[in-house]
Amino acid sequence: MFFLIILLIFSPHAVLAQEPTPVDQFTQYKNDYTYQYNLYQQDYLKYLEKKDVYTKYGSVSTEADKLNTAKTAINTRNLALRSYLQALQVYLDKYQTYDQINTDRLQIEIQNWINWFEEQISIVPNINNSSDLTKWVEDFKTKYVDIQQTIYSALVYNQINQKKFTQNLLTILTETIKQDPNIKPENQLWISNLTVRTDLIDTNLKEAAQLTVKKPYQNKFSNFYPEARNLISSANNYLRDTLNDLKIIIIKSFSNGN
Amino acid sequence: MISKLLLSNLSQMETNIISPDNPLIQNVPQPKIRINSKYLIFTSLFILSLLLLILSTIINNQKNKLPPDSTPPVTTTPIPIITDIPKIAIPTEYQSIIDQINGEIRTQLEFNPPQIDENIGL
Repeated sequence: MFFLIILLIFSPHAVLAQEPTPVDQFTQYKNDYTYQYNLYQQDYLKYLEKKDVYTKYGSVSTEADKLNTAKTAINTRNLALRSYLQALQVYLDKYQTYDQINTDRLQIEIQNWINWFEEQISIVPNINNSSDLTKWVEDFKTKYVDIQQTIYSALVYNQINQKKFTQNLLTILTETIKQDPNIKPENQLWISNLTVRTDLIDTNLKEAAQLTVKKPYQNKFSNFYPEARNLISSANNYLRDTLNDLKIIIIKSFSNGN
Repeated sequence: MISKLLLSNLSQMETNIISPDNPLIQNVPQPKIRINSKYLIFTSLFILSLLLLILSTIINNQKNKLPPDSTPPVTTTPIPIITDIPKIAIPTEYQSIIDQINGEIRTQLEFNPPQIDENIGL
């Protein structure tokens, strides 16, 4: 019996079952990101403390303390952002087939930023003076506008892809109902009216996608995410209404034995 | 004569009994009892604790005798279990895809980026 249990545990099927799925990978990256972000928050508080001391006394030693804590906080911030981007890259996998071109483009962009952060993780600790650090921070601020553009575009496209996936499921359901001999002719006409709502869903999703190409103004990130989310939410409401209508058609056709 | 004799004897006996020489009516020296204060406190505390123990036992017994819930017993008839619930007729071939669509509609894809300070080091 004991031998059998051991055999079951180490069987090839058990090993295969432990292979990470995309969801597991996302969870791993997300956990790493949460851990790194907590470290960043701790280091950031230490930096603020040393910065206050330097502002108060302005001595050479307090300046050195401020520089060191700033470098540490920047480094943990870079690690947190890299982990976030890694998680985001995997997050797009689930619904990528519904807009493969744009998803691939965004995943490549994310990968480029991951690479950039990995470089910075080795560069920042070697900065020796305040002027070099200031230069680095100014460069980062410019880049962070583009980083945010990539992040929010990825979030918007992921939601659009998910709605397209849902819409596809609704289309399958509609086609199945259309071919069902139990559905009354008057209900078949009602189904054709659903295409109007499908157009509204498409329009909302297209408008949300267009918002992601909004260019930054005066080197500042213009946050299109709330507006895009509203459009996606409207599309989701149309999807819900369509599903409810289809459910009514099914119930009406089957509940009275028709 | 006999009565006179008896009376005189009796009177003699009475005189003898009342006499202070009689050892029976002499003051017997009583032993002096010295009450130890520590002993008194200990005893009183012991008795008090015994009383408290008895009292608590009585109260507990009284409590246990009470019904567990003071709410009046339910006299209404129990709710009948309906075995045949009239379900909304959605055929099984449609139910699975409807559940899947419902799940997707309810899914909120939120993974917001971290809130950071861009100006660290300035």
